[in-house]
Amino acid sequence: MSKQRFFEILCTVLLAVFIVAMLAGNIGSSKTAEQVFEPVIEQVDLEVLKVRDDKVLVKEFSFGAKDVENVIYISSDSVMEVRELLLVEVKSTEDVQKITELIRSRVESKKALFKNYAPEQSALLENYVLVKKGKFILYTVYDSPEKIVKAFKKAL
Amino acid sequence: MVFSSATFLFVFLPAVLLLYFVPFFRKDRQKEFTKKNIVLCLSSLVFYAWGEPVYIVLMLLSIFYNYNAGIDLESHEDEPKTRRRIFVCAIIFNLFVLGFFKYSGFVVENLNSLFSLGIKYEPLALPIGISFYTFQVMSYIIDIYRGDCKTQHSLLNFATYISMFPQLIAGPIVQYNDVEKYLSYREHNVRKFAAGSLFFIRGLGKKVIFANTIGAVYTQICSDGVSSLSAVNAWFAILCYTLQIYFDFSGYSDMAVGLGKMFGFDLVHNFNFPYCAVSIKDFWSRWHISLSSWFRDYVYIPLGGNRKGTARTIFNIAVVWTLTGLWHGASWNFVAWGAFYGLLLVSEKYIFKNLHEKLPRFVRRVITMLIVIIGWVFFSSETLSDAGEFLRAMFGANGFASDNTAYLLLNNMFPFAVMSLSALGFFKKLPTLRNVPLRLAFQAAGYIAVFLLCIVFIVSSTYNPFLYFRF
Repeated sequence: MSKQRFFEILCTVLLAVFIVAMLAGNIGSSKTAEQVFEPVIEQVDLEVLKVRDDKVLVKEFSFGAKDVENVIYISSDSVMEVRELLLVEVKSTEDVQKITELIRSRVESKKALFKNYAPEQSALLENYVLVKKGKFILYTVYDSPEKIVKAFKKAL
Repeated sequence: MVFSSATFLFVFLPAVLLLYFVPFFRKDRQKEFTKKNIVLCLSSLVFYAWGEPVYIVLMLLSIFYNYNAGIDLESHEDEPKTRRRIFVCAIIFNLFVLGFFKYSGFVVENLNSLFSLGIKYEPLALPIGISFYTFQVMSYIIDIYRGDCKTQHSLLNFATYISMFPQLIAGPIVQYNDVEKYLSYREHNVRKFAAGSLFFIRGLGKKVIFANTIGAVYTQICSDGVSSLSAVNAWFAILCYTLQIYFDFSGYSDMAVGLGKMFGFDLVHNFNFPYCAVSIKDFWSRWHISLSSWFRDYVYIPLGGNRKGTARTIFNIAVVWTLTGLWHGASWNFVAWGAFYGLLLVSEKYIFKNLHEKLPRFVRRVITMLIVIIGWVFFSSETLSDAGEFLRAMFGANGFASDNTAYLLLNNMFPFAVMSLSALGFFKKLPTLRNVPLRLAFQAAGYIAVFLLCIVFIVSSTYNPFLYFRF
């Protein structure tokens, strides 16, 4: 067998492995949005932050409730408060990439906004968390995001 | 990462340009050129991995497979049967990659609804630019099989061709033949770099200032749902979308061509004032030129083109346009959109040819434009039934006008008029200053103003990905 033939076969095998791995990772949770969202929301301070409406969500992230299956966005009115929590259940896993890109882009613009003059906010933004599993996406900027991530993973 | 983002403009691009142009091997031109390709290739992989790192694996597999298949084809030059087998395997590999990631959900969904099967399947996220780079890699394999180009023996050069970030995620689809010479040698000079920069700024302006602005109007009009759209609002919405998709996609293509020039490549131009077309055939020779050329060279002509009689020509057109529709997306509305154009091209060629030629040029332009606008309804809708509902709204199903119609029109008339004139090439026809230094000074000031304005728009706006990213 020639070297080229060997590599062609190898690539085909690796492609098959890649697809199987992707499909395995794509298997989501059978839980409802409510079952996933509730324990996560309990982790944030709702006295400082509040649940925002669709208009704020669209303004901040360029997508709204109609673009996804379920969503909840918690943040503050204060412009200097960067702590926030976004939980999304997308309509199809095909939308995960689109929504995560919107979130990432939003984080980048927020980072640029606070860079150089608000070190505390910048540090929080640098440690943002974006987790996806199946149709669910968690995004948060928080003092102790580990607790939130743990609650999210446990709820799935 | 998108070209119209602060990260790309102020971090990624300057860093890549610096690494690319700062000489590492002053005395060895060949080594320096190899370094340039390494920088371009690695930065392209970083660019691609920015959004969804996992799919870089898929692209690397595609690069390795096709690189080896190309050499394999060459080494069996005198064995037609083996060559054919290698070629068929390579085509199956590439079509499988595209088909699985782009169409598997669509196929399962249709099988479920046709045969009530109830197959549970969660489609994977679509790898960005998969339609573009798969078509590029297929052009390479087909050209080698046909003997139209030489095999690329450098894995670095081949990987650079497939992954080159200026055109990686939304085209233009660069056929291997068109860039082969640049992979082993390309000239860099200030004039070319400057021309590339101007192209880039023009494209950035089209996307950031025009497409995003008019796109926001379209989104605003459609925000309450199609079911409540009055006829005037629906027509205005689809006109806005018509402008948005043109400026969005041609803007991206201009940026790609501009970046290509900055790195020494002359990429094919993808647009030539498509809304000035006088027929549907003319439209498709001006819109997404690289895709039309790909289907012409690799599907239509190999099927026999128009050389095998009327029936076969009609069949060939039907095949090409169904595939063109499907290439744009795994949904029946894209198939309908492709079929719509196939039908129109056949009608134009065989039924209305004489009548069409007798009409005044202006009337032909208006008719073409109307057809194109109706075509965008299928394109902009998520499903075929949404498209039907939008068309019904355009023809008065929800009344002629609504309470906000006058406000909408008056509020957006100025940007709409400026963009329409620009899309129709009006500004290109304006007389230019005869005094060359003065003209250059005005042009430079204009480009700087556009760039600064783009920065303002980018900083103050949220994420606006290119429409063609989803293909």
